[in-house]
Amino acid sequence: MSFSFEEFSKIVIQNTTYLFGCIGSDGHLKCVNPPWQKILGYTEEELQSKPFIQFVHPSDQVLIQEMIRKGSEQIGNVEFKSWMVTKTGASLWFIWNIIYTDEKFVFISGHDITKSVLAQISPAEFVSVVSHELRTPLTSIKGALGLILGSEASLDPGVHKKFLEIAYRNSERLGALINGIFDIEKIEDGSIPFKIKSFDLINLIKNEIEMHRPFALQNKISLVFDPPQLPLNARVDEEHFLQLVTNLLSNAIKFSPEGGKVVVMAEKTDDKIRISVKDNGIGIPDEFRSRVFQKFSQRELGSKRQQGGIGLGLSISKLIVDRLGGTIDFKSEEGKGTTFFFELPYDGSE
Amino acid sequence: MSREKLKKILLVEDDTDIQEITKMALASIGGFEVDVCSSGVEALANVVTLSPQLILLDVMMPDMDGIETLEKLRQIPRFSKTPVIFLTAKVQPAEVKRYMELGVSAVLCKPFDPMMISQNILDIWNRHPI
Repeated sequence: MSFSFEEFSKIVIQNTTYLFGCIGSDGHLKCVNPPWQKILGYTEEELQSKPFIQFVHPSDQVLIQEMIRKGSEQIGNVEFKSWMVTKTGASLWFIWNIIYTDEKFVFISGHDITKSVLAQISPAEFVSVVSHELRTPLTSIKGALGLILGSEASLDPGVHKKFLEIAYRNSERLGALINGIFDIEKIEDGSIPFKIKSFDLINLIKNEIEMHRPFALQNKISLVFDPPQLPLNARVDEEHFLQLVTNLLSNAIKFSPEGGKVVVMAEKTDDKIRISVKDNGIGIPDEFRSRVFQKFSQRELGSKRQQGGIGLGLSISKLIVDRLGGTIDFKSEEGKGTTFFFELPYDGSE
Repeated sequence: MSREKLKKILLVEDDTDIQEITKMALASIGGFEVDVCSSGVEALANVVTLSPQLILLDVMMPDMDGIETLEKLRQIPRFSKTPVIFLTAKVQPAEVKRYMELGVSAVLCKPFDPMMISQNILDIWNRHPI
């Protein structure tokens, strides 16, 4: 049995995970293969109803507009990357190839590379980073205690107390780091058992919000949760679900300005439960978006980091959501705020 | 030509607790005059005014790391040969080898002994070619 090239092309185009399409001179998509709908979540009609550019994340629209415009000037192909926005509002990182022909259409093929970009750092880099992260608080602990021991007689009481506080603060940080590293390794290699049961997530979230209220008050942040009237059940491990909510809540509180507001929402969409935590904080810089869920990536934020932290919370959150069969993502506008949201399968059996 | 006495050190470090500890160790134990900059950018902007004899430079810093700071510092004629010591927690053997190839006088590892660091720096200073 043999295929004609036409049959072969048809099978590949329909079943591939690559997006193939053509854009007309009005900027609208004229033809799309099925992955467009599967990956971006729009129907074929929706995809063709407005210019292609409107599916691109606003931060990349000017670049893409320019790329498409060039089609009228040259023949050949060009490769570039951009963020696309799905129907649910999630951002996906795409690599695109635009094929310019002498026809009126621009042909375009794209591939979602979000996951490969989110891939964890290499083992060698991990050892180097862990070593650095552990040594940093240890430097302050050893330094502060060493100075107290070595110059006790001549040390001013105020300085003595300040050094003890430095040692204490950094031992807390070191403890949190060690816990985080163990947690992440255990969840990653599957050695930590998840006791999966059906829970009403609303109750769990309510309790967690009350736990965070003092921390929010201390930071002068209002914490708002308007829960739906009906229970929303999902099959989760209680301890890890709470850890996930804690991570998102404490990040949102930490990164909100004084007087800010953190809004938690829970809703059922089709067969999923969607939980979101929205803050009006500093937002996530565009260039950092692809590394948000990487271990220790926070250190790359540099001076925008502001709030310390160990840089493992979001990596752990992603691992937990993956393990619970869900998805996690975020929307962010620098200077305006960030919404982290995750979806878990709804459990209607209860 | 006799060697100048080491008095003025510039510490470039982003962690405020480590700044405090290191400054105290160098000033009270070693008797040095210590200026502190929190970033490579701040150090480059102020190094001429501060006029240090030796620079203690952290490697992992926001915005501009120690390696880039060193490269830029070497472009300032007055500081093309000033002894620079990396004071860092990034001390895997391959990393240390790379730092030495960049022409630093020494690499001091974090965590360090606060009672010994001044003597270690003096030893490095005395080994440095005049």
